[in-house]
Amino acid sequence: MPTVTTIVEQTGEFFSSLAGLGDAAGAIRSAVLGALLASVTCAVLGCFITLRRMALFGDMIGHAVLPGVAAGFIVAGHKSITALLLGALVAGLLAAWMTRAICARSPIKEDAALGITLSTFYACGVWLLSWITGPSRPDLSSEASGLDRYLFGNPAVIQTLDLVFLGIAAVVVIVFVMLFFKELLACSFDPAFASTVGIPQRLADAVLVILLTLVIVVSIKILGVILVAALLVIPPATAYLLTDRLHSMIFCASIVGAAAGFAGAWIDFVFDSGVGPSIVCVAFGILVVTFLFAGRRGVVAKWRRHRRLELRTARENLLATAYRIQERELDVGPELELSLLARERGEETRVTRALARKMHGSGWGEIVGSRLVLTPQGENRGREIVRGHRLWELFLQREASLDPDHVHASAEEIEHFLGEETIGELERLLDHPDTDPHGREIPTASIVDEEETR
Amino acid sequence: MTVTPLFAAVELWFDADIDAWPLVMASLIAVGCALLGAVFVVRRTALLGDAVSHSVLPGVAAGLLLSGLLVGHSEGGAFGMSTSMLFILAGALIAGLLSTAMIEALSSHSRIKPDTALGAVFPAFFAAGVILIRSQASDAHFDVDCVFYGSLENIDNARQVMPTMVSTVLVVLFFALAYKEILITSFDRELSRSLGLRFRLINVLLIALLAMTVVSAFEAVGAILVIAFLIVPPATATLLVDRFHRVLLLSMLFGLTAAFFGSWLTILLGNVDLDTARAPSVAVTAGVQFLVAFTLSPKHGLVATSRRARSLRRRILEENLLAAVYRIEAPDDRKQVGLEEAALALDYPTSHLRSTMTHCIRRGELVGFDDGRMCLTDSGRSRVETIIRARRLWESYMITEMGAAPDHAHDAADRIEHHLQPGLVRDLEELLDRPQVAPRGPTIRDGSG
Repeated sequence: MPTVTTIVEQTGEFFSSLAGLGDAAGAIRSAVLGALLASVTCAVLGCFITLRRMALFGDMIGHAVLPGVAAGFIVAGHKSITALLLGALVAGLLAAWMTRAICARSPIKEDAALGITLSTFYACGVWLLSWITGPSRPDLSSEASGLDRYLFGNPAVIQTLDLVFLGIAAVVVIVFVMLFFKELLACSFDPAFASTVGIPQRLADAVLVILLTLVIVVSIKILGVILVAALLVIPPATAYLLTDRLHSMIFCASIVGAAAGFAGAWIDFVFDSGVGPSIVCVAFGILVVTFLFAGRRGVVAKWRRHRRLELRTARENLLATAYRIQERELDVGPELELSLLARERGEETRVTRALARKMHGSGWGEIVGSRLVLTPQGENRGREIVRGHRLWELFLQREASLDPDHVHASAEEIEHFLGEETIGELERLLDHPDTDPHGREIPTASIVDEEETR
Repeated sequence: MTVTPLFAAVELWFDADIDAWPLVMASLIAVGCALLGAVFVVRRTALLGDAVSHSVLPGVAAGLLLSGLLVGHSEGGAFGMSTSMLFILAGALIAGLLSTAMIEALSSHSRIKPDTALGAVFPAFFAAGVILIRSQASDAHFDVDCVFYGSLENIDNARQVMPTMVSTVLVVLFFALAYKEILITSFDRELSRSLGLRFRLINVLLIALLAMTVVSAFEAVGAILVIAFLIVPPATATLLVDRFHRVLLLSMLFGLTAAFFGSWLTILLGNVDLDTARAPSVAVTAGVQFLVAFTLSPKHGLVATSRRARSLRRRILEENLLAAVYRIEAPDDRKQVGLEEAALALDYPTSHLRSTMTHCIRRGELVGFDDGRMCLTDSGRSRVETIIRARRLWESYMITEMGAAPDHAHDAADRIEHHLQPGLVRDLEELLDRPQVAPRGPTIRDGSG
């Protein structure tokens, strides 16, 4: 492992090369530029691809271009960039068309169709490569060095022409998105609406597939096949977690793509970990962080909300127990023995004590010695819970004609979610009843609030 | 026919010393993959195979690294496998399960769709694997090329076949023991839940076996070509048969034929000085098998479906022509009807109907005259009347039972009249209590004539 000092040194060298200093400046600049262009273009186009549920199409096309690369090489006789790209483009489009044909003309589903074209085209490519590099064509195999690594991606072999092609693809994609934003929006979210307003779906689909193939073909050389597919999917997925609007999704995705592209190039320079894999790892890291922590939708936030709800429910259940005891035994005041509560709840005193200790957090009560001392708010809340519970039971019995034996479970769940308004509504609907289906008194509305407001 | 000449024929092409182990290896991979792949194909998660085959890579790299650190490169081990192979298998298993768990977590705990989750997770695992392998490239006897290509040619002894043998045997055993569970969990999740089957357990076992199979096939065919073994033969089988056990058997068969003919193809091409690799040749053969089934399958094939569509189109044209002639000649009996007249009534171009007319004349449903006019024969008339009768019944059904307005019933009947089978007509008759009068037009003629 490189030490911290070498990392710092390498980083310094990386940035000074970017600034145009040193021998390797040109190569590094073009590698970074290539990585950035490829990442951003993939991210922008990927938004539409993932929204149209074509996330795995990119993976398929990336693999399927291989026979085209091989054929382009055979035709040109040497590694002409243009020939290889053209061959790849043709093979990619052919594979896309074949996937669609298999889906449309047979009972085979899209996932299997993708797998079939992917593996068959790729196999054809490997087959051709094995012939090219094999002993039977010495004239070709001498020229073919590195061709078998075409799909791995290697920014070190990036030439100016590659960058030009990447730039053209980026411009085409961005101009296309800007010109047809509204149409793309409609197609992505509501294909049925799009076709009623006269956007031809098949054409939109075909254009998207052509652009996809174009972008993949020009990006493969720098990123490698599997990683191109990743950059088409990961930044848009991240953006999808963050925003609800298409234009901000595109914006977010390109930021994520650019950040990953730049960081990937830098990490590769320092650790020699490969540009493509580094970019993908960074992008995936961003996705995971977003997934876990992004605002209200993040998994952590969801989990915390869930925990809070669970805690509130547990506390309220304890308050309701306390109310029931007070109701039954008239001599019990706001101070309750923990052992009494525990016996009522059918659990060990230890468990009740642990829960009672948390009452403090919501200002509903406090432990004093072996007793739980409820505050007026706590008593009031317990009363409300029981009130909601019994009203709901009565409601279920009267309006849903449920048997009195069957109403408790539902009321036990819903009691925590009945707001004041709903309880009032229930009361009016049931004509201010006095007792629940089990013959117990329904507590009247709170007294404490009135005292406080007075 | 005895077996010996068969072997003799095979030996003409195959050289037992060179070709035996690659063929055995390819066959073993084909069988294991066909079984596992069939499950994922019918579950519509075919690309899970793709995902697992890529995401085992970091596990493989970590396994190698660990075995190097812990035990060095010792050669002994269980089942004739080296210790490092056991480490690799364990690593692959963990990585495979972890990646599928991650795909599930991403898609079930956020609004990311399952396909997007799959497309995001497996390249990330793959990238991590590539980085790990690069970091120890100097001492690893395992490089990225092998993931992309693999080489059946390098298989030349029993030791290399052993891991695949073990995993294939495990797969076959699993399918033999848990066939019913696999079947039910694949087709009816609700039923499997109500029966108390452990969907999750079966799933985990399937993924684990998949990871094992894929890793043991790495050296021979690589991570990408293994998809050809996993998806193509089962997909070919689903084009031909419907029952799950038949799909399993047939996909194994197709896997084996692909392995055999693929190897043979390489040998044949090698004889004419076209040197190609075996693994892609087997995969291409599997693809060709699929294309053949896709074109020629009696039920779902391109030829069969287009032939069915053509014959339906022709029948509809015939029936429309006969009905047009019937309607034109009906008012004054036995009038001869010109083709142009019929074409005008049907709003078809005349050229469209000429061959239909010839066909009807040949079938004896029309009589053609020299001046190009025609009239119905008795058999033609009875065919038209059957159709009209069915059509009227349908109209009454729509009006009386479905409460459709008469003019709406007419349009619907226009479309359906060619598809009403005798059985359905009888049912309609019974349902409508043998009606004598249709809502529009003349009396319904009785079925007997």
